[in-house]
Amino acid sequence: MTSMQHSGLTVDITVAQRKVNVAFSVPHGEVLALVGPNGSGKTTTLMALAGWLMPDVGKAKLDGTVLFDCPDPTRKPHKWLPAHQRGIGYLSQDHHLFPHLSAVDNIMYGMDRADITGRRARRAKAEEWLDRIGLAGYGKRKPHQLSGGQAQRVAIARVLASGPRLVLLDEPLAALDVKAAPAIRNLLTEVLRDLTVILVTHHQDDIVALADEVYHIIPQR
Amino acid sequence: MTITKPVNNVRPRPTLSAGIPSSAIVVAVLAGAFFVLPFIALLAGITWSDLPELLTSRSALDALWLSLRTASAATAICIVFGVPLALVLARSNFPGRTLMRSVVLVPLVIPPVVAGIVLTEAFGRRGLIGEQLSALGIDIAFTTAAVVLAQTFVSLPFMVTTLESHLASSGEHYERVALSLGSSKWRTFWTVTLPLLRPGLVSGVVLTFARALGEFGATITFAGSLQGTTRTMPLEIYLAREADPDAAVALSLVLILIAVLVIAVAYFRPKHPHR
Repeated sequence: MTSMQHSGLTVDITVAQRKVNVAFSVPHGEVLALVGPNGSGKTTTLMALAGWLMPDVGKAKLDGTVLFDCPDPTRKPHKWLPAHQRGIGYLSQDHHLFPHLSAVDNIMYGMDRADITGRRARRAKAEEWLDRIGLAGYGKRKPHQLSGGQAQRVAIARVLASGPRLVLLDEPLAALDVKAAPAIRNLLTEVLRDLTVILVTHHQDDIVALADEVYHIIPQR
Repeated sequence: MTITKPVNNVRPRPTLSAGIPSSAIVVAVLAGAFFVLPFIALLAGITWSDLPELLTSRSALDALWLSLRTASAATAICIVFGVPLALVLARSNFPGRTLMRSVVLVPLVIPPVVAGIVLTEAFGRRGLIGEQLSALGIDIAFTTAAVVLAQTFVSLPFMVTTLESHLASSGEHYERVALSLGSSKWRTFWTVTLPLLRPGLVSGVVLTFARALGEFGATITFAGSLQGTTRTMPLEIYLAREADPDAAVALSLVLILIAVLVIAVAYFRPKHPHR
């Protein structure tokens, strides 16, 4: 499964209602920036990949696994892998940390998929992540006791601790103030190394710092 | 020029309200009095020295115990059925959803005595389902189970509407994130949806329990009034009114106290539910 054809992501989708039609591929371990004006279908593309929205027509394959195959808008898809079985992590500008769980429990939430078994091993791994994102000692805090930047760091750790095969970043720095953003951009460049990533952003800084390739979506009119 | 010194221990001035006319305040006070006065009248009418005797009579204790048991059972059933029903209504998109939502609200708007008739037609000994059950040796009408059924029927809409509005306003962001972390729908329900629904569940339980505790019309129609089996507190109070008005007042006081207690437990809690 290491040949170029089977590694990384290929996607080709059409969502007629939202006038979206995109086709691209991301080689394994690279970061693709998805750019385009509002309404051009960036978020729609991410939602289809994450498994929250079914395209009318489309197909996507990740590391040799077919995520979905919808050849005909009037029929059921040939294949539709449920969201939780896709191995695709998602992070938006809103951290969406589970408000009833502490920072460390948030990070541990997805570790089932990462094959880290045993509560002690998971906790140790989560503590390691806290250390890596510069928040050692913050593990017991609930999300409302963290600043926006701290919460976003924990959300990054949570997504990566779940061992995703593909990471979707939807404007990950858009909600942060100008002081917090650069540090988190630096953190992302470090932790996303060797991961297959799609990054949706409006910021040139993000593209320069993070992206290997850029895909421009031209709106359908 | 004078400089005002900051003064400690002074309450900050509240922000001024923008749009309440004085006449509205007068009417609001009257409305408040309308709620409070009857309770003051009730307290004034109680012969306190007779109270212990009135409240510890066999029939009063039977009724109280029966009411607490049945209202708790009905509330538990409303949780088990109400959570999935609210989830389906709030978060799925199927044809006939609006119709189903209206059907759920029916017990709220029909008179309770009509609810009793409807239940009798369904679960009575000669009812649509009751007849089949009767053939199997299961009789529901005029048993404690009938009381629970009547209470569940009239109070389930309170649980469902409360939960549904909480679910609709909270959206599905957290559930989507959980799925993207590899959590199955079942695990996501138990570890994300349900814990986040807790405030709605508390409100729902309070309203449901209160409605079940006060159930009268459907109960007397469908379950009858047998002491210790189907004669709940409201029925006992209604009967006592004829024979012993003092006892009726005393028993009413007990129901009021339970209501106050339930509301206090539910609503006077720390502001951050997830702290």
